[in-house]
Amino acid sequence: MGDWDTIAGWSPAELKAVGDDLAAELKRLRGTEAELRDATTPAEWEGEAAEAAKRSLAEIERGLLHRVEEFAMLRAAVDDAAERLERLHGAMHGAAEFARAHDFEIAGGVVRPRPGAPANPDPDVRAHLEAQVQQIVRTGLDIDADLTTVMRSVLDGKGHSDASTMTKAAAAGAESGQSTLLDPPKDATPAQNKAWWDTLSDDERKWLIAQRPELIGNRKGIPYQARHEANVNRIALEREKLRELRENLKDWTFVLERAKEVGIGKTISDLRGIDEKLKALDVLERQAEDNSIVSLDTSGDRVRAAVAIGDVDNADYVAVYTPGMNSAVEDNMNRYVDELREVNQYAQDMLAGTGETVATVVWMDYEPPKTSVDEIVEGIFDDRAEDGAKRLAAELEGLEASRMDDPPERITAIGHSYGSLTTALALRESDAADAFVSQGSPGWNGDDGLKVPAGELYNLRTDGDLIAGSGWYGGSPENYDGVRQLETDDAVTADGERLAGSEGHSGYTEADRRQSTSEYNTAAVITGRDDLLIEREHADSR
Amino acid sequence: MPDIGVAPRSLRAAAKGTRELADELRTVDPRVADPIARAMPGSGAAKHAAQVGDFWQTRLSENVSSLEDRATKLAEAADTYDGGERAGEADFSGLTPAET
Repeated sequence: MGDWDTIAGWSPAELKAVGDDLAAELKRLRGTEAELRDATTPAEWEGEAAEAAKRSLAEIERGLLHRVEEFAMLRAAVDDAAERLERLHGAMHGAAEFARAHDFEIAGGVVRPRPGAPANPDPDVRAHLEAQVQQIVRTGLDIDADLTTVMRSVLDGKGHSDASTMTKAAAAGAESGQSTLLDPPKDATPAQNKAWWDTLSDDERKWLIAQRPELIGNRKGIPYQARHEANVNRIALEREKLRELRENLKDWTFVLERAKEVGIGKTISDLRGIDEKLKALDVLERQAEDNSIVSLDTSGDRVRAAVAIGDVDNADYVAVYTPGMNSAVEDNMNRYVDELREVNQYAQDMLAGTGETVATVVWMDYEPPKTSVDEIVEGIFDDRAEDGAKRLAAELEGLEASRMDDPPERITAIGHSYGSLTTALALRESDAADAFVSQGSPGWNGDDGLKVPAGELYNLRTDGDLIAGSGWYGGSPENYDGVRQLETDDAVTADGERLAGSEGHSGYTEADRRQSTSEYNTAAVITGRDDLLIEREHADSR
Repeated sequence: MPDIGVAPRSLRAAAKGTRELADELRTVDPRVADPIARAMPGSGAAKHAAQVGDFWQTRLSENVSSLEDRATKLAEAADTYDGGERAGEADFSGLTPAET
């Protein structure tokens, strides 16, 4: 029998009954405290025999304190195991139901298409189910391992506390009987992260967010709200770390040691970047008042972060916007959020009366090149885009995984300028996006291999956008087959609403409370309103 | 004369308390964790359940046995006092359990 079936055969109810029985016996043991007092030898009795009698009782008392501690320890471990197992059986049931609903079944821990199911069931669902099964088994084995460790500890007869009363011994036992939290698997996939998160209790999740926010804040596949709460907790910690580093970097001995450790280049860039990083943290702290900080990383040359507008965990339509060159959290996160909040609202307006909602992530979890002397050259190459694309692909996969139980209607990836290249590269790795909107793009290295449904590639280019016309990265998307060119000039919607034209390289989305044609088109793609799209009539008119 | 003044009544009370403690301990079920084996068949914990039961049974039996011996010796000491002899003759050695 495999682990899955073995775990399925364990009974949380019976385990709970053992815990209750242990509690009753523990109570009985603790009840001997009064008799122990009565058994004390008379104080006035002195001499060798009296001393021997006292010693014998002290030894018995010590033994009883140990038994109390052991019973309390095993009781806590059994109760904990019963609770975890009950939750785990719930997860097993949920996985089986989910499998059935998606034409799979779980037999002996193996995920396979259900007999008679249509051919080629969804591979993402299969990966999700396999990760779930793997995690459930992992958690089940951990429950057993934790309980076994406590039982071995009883048998070893070592590690007792020095508790001097039964109350203290019981408390010490109850504490050491608690299981330790199981970390997610090393290098876990988003699906594995989700499966791990799903096996935790609410209390365990809260504890992790409060005590180990660094484990949660950037973890792909778990709910964005949890990531936000963890990242909010991290801001103060990261600020403290940076201030400490800044102080330390005033000390030449430290500087030399650090240079030996991480290299002189990194040491200098650390020094130069600290103030910018602190500014970025201030920006994120303010953003957290209205929005969610769903990603935060200070380990690079610049702070990388992502801010979500709306409820990503529950929205029906989710957009992920990636800006381009010269983007840095401290410089322009606020502006991007303001701009995308307007686009998000326009998309929401298109859903009026439906009860459906939109959320948008402004994703800056990469370091696009700046037009500075040392980085401008990098802009010519796509290394930073490739580096960002790996993380963006993981983010999109994480979004899909986190919403596997309740998928959004549609996920749209939006990239501006160099961000469109980054997005296009990411969409060659991830198939999570249902549509791709490219704004002011200098190219996507062609349109081959993008894992986006046919007819869902869109391009926007304004008048006078020379960067968009450059075609630096594999030619302009205006010339790619299968890419729909959307209007950016003045236009009128089918409802007669007048839309403003956009100009230049940075005018596609502006926080000016005036809906532009490019914002309208972007919102229409986000909400899948093909009927509202205003396509460009003359592709060669720029 | 260190033992002078010890009332045999106090020693008998201690013997009674010791016996009651032994009686109370006898009611503790050392095999209480055995059903873990039934609750989690095929698990590592199941393999250890009976061992924990054996361990506790041995320890609690030793405690009970020590207490009984002690109660007897306390009663003997009281008798000795009643007989006007020195209580130092009562032997309390060997009452310490083998484990901690």
